[in-house]
Amino acid sequence: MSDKTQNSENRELSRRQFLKFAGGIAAGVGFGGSLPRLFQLSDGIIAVPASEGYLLIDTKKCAGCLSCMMACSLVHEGKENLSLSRIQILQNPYGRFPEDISQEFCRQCVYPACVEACPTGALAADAKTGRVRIVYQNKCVGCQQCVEACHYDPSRVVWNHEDKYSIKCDLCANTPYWNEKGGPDGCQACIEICPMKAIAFTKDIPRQDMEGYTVNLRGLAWKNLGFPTD
Amino acid sequence: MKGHMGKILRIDLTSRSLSVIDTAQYEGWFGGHGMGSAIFWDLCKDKAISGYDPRNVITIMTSPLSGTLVPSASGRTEICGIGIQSYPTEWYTRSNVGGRFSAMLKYAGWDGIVIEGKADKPVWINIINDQVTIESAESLWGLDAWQTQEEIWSAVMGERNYEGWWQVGTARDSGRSTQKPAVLAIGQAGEHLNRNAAIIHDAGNGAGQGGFGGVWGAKNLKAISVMGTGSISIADPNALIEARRWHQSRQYNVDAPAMQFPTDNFPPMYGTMARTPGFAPLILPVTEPSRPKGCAGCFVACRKRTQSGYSNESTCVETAYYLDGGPEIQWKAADLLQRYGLNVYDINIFNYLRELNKMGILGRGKQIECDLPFEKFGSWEFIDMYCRQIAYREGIGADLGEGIIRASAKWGRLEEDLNSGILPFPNWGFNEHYDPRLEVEWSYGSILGDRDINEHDFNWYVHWMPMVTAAAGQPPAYSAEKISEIFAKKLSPYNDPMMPDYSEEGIYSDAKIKSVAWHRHYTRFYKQSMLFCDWAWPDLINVNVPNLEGTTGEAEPKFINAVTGGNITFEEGMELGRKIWNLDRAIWTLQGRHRDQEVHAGYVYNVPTTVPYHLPVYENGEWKFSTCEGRTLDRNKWEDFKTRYYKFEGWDPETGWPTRAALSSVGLGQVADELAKNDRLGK
Amino acid sequence: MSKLSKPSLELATKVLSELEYADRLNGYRMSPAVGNARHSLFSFQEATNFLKIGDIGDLMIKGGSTSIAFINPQELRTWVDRVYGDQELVAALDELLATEASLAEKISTMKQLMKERLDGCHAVLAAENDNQKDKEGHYA
Repeated sequence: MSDKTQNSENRELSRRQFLKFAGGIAAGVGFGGSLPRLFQLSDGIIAVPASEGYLLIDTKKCAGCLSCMMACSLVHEGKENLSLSRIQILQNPYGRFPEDISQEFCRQCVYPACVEACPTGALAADAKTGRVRIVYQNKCVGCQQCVEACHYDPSRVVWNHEDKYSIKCDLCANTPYWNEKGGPDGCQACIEICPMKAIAFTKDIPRQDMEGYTVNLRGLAWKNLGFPTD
Repeated sequence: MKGHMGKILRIDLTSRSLSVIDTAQYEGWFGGHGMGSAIFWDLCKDKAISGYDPRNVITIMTSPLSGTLVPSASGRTEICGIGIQSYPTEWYTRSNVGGRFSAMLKYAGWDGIVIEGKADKPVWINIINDQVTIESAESLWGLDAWQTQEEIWSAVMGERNYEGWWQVGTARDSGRSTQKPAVLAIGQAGEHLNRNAAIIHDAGNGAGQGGFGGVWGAKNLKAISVMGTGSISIADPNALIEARRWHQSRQYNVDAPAMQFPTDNFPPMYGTMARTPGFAPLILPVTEPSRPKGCAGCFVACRKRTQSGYSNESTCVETAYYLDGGPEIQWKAADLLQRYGLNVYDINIFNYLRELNKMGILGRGKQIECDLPFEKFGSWEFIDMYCRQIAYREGIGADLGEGIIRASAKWGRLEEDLNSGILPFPNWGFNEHYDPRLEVEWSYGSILGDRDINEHDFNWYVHWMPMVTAAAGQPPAYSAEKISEIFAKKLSPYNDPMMPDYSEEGIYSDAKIKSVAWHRHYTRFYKQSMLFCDWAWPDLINVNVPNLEGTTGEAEPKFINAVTGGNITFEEGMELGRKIWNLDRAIWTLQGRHRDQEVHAGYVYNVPTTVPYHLPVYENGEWKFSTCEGRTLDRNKWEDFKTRYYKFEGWDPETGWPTRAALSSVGLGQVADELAKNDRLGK
Repeated sequence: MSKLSKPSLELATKVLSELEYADRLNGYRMSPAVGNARHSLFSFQEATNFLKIGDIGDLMIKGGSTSIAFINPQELRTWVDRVYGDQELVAALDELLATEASLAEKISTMKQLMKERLDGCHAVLAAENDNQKDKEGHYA
């Protein structure tokens, strides 16, 4: 993979320089084989600064209780609806640990395809909320390009079929139904609620590989319960 | 009230017609069992029919809390109707199943399902939001409960193992989901109308007691599948999440468990005492890598999913019924039950069969023909054959499919074996669960009701804590006196410090009457109607906090009111429990109940205890733990207790029937009218 | 340190035989949330194998995930006396019954004693078989 990008006026800019400009240093960021369209950095350039916060989920610690999903829709929409949760837990009751459950959550991508795809600027990295990639609901026209654009399956951008706009993880920056302060400098409902403490928060861009992040939040206390810590 | 979706699905399988019951009609019952009993009362005109009769009305109910963030009250489903397991009468009964079915039913827009009639051919019910169809189950009939669910997932989702968002339903903007349909299914045992057939959900959730699997089989109902993308309104979302944080912060901390004990090398009381993740597969020495697994919305996550896939989600006796062949066979044996859909509590009778075999009565060419290889007891071959024979009613399964009680009666052995205790089935033909001679809320509550109660409200604290600590030569986590103190605080409205006295006098005392009443009322409302899970509630004594006090009393109303927008008090909930208990009592009365039947199996009165069984006792002016050896129940004292208990509940002491006064006191005057019409009203 | 002396051939034969139904011993499995399940034991070998307390550390850490396989010491003593007439083992059990040992320790000691007796019986019968073989040039 080249570490130089070419802009429309043939100016070269190294990846590292771009990322410094964007507000974060990444180490080995990858996207599972498909590269996003590159952001150009002269006229008409949209530079998307990196988010100031990321969720980390230990896939082996998760108990598949769906409490995070219930918490998410509760604090954002004021109602309980798994289809309106911005974090999705998929599982197969007959599956084998650890492949029986997967946790699908927004990675606040450094190169956010969803932001790029939005034709109205409704999806942006909001400066007031720590550059979290969020949807401004009143600007969303419901084209669902963001849902299509997300590189992950299931898409991390969720189509809210009841209120007719897209929604996505904002690290609880906007939770009208929860009095707690959210966003990268505050609390996240899923982290607060997860009874296994399988979700953590970081301000640093996580290192990821083809499958995503590998996070291990299991220590001695977990081992004492008879569960694996590797 | 908020938390209700507003409609209950009513299905007549005979005419294959669908209709809607307005939840508002039954709103005062809240949900679960209360609502189920009220609906059953209205729709099942002749309550003395057999459970196999097509006129049997089965309710499958959620609560306002299902599908919400209320901890360990979100995923359970209550099933009620006339069962086929209890003996000699098929009592109106209940069974409760964990997992995620009730949550999904709510998301689909329904508060419950009512099933009547019998389909002419095998069917399954397909619920996708408000679209409901009755599908042919001809291709499913004969499959086990797991295969059935996987087939239904494919049918509903259109593609097996789909990972990602899929469009649910065909209506525009009906929503998408990443979840699989939630399915209740019977296996071959239910298809063969077994009295010990269970209804299975996902891998390890089962509605085991009552034989509802066989009832569904008799209705030609193979499965019910539900998929929902809708929203449950919550009255006060902030209050709900904050209540959850408050309750959860006091529970077992998976990363930093509280150390409560004086010595360094004495680890905390995990497992049943502290509600640790993964404690449910009991005595299963799972050494392979696994994760804890929780039902929808649970904060405990008591089950497991394993690397081998064996025993996924199974709990309790399912993982602990076949121990003689070592761990690996023990793990796999759980899955036989789940696939065939068998109630482990009725088939967990190996010792009885071994004894009959040893006596020379049961075996190849014996009086009771049985080709099971007892010489290979402990092997996989044995258990595989055993479960298969029962599920298919082959070999000895022809008798055992009727339940062991009826089988023993058929063999001409029932009375003798219940008297000697080699068949330890103390109440209505249900297997002994806790010692009926000692832990009397269990045995009294069971015989005054319809089944083995299976409600551990006191059991974790009064029996298991002192048992496990004593076995290891360690002091108890808390004293018997502490139990008395905390129970007095929390067991409203009685608040009697003598309630946890299990001494020879205590088990017949007035305090024990209150104890039994508290247990019946709390469970009928909070656990069977609001659907707080038996393995997390009530939270009475908590070893994870310094003052040892659980959140019960404060927590239940907090959560209920946050969801519903109401202002119910704990005591009002208890009154509702009393109301529901009285309605059930009226139903049993119409089924022929009389106090003369409420007598335990003979061994309970004849055979003294020999195993140390720890319980708190108040003797010589002080509280302590006793091992209660050498004790039986006394027949006469039990009869006297019954008389006083009936009076306490306002029932006629001559018959045990509810009186008009008792029924009116809970707003059930018309129930009294019906009893009077049938000459069954208590005086 | 051995507590029991070498058993007689008669005792060894009896100890290693399967029992009639009437001579069974009651064992109990005690486990959290399941209750006590009776398990009838039809031989000395079966009774010895049955006794189990799990590791005490395990019991504390995984209280809900382990079990105790229990035989009432008094019942065991009565059974050994009535069925086998093994007075030496009875005396050893009497000694144990007189102590203040915890349940765990009692189960552990009972199992040890029974195993010792069992091993002794196996040895005696094996030696007897060898004798027979020597005398007759084949197994009797």
